[in-house]
Amino acid sequence: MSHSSRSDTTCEPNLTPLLDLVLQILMFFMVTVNFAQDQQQVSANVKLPDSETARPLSKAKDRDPIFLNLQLRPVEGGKPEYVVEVPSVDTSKGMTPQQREAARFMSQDNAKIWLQGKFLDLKRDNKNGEVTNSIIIRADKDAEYAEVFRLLGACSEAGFRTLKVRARVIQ
Amino acid sequence: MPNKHRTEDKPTEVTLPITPMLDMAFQILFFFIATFNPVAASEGQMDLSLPAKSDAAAPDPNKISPRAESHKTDIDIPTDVTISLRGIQVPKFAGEVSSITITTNRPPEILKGADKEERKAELRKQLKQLKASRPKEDDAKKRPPNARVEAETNIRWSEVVKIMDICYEEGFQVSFSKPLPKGAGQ
Repeated sequence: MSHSSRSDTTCEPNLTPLLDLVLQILMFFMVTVNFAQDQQQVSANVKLPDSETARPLSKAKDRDPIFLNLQLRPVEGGKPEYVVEVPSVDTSKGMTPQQREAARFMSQDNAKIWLQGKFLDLKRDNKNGEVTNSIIIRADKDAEYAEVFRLLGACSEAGFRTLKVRARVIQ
Repeated sequence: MPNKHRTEDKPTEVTLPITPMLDMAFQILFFFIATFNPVAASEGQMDLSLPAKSDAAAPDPNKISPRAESHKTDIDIPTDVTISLRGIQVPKFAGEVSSITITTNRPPEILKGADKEERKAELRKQLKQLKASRPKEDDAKKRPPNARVEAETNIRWSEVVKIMDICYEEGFQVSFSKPLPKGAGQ
């Protein structure tokens, strides 16, 4: 008898603490979210050098920056090779998405050619023929100076006027 | 009678439907977790002065395309000080800076200091002095002093950035110069 009378009391889990927690975590991720346009172009494979004076990225963003990631790719039993990752490659050649993705990683020589092509494209597309895009270089901290300089030189030679380097900010 | 009936009624519980809200919260939570990128959040930027005119060109004249126009518009940045970084050519210390030379209008000077930190402190001191002794007209033109950094080919980038750090802290702009051959200073 007593059983049947108890059966209509519903047993609900207490959701309040769970909800509190979820909303807290949600809040954290919302606050730290950074809708920087460069998200896809920033490669996590590059370990940036530490710097005390690098300015944290402010709201005032560069106009259409072009990111170049200079990575070190280990080669078995030899010197690591340098790979430049560019934002995108010409897509008119009917490549599959995988091929296109792989083509973004190129040697220094090809990166130089890519930069020259990119500069001409931008020059043609801009109304007054001026290229104001800045180049942001994310070089690996273990990269050799000569390789970084080579990339800087290639940008400068292609005609880009604003060069910036990225570093990890330490306080 | 109706009065009595009312008192027998259980007080109606007002429950907030939590389930849809929780569903929604999880959806949003997942979105923010998926877009969370702590790498980008800790990054900072450093401006560069462009490589000086002479260095912007390829070292080999045959490699220069005669149609490239960019060199014509290059502005040679006046350099106040050149900082040369050299390393020891021993595999164990490859990429480390073993000596710093600074060249101003005086003859080149190798910075004193037994270890990295001492040399860096010395560099800081020298740059401070240099900035204090600048001619007044440069300050009037609002041109920041320029430091040109050159390093041996295999010096590690992180070491170069540390030197850049010191230059920026002392108010110098940094430009780069073409790499020195390995072991040139020995």
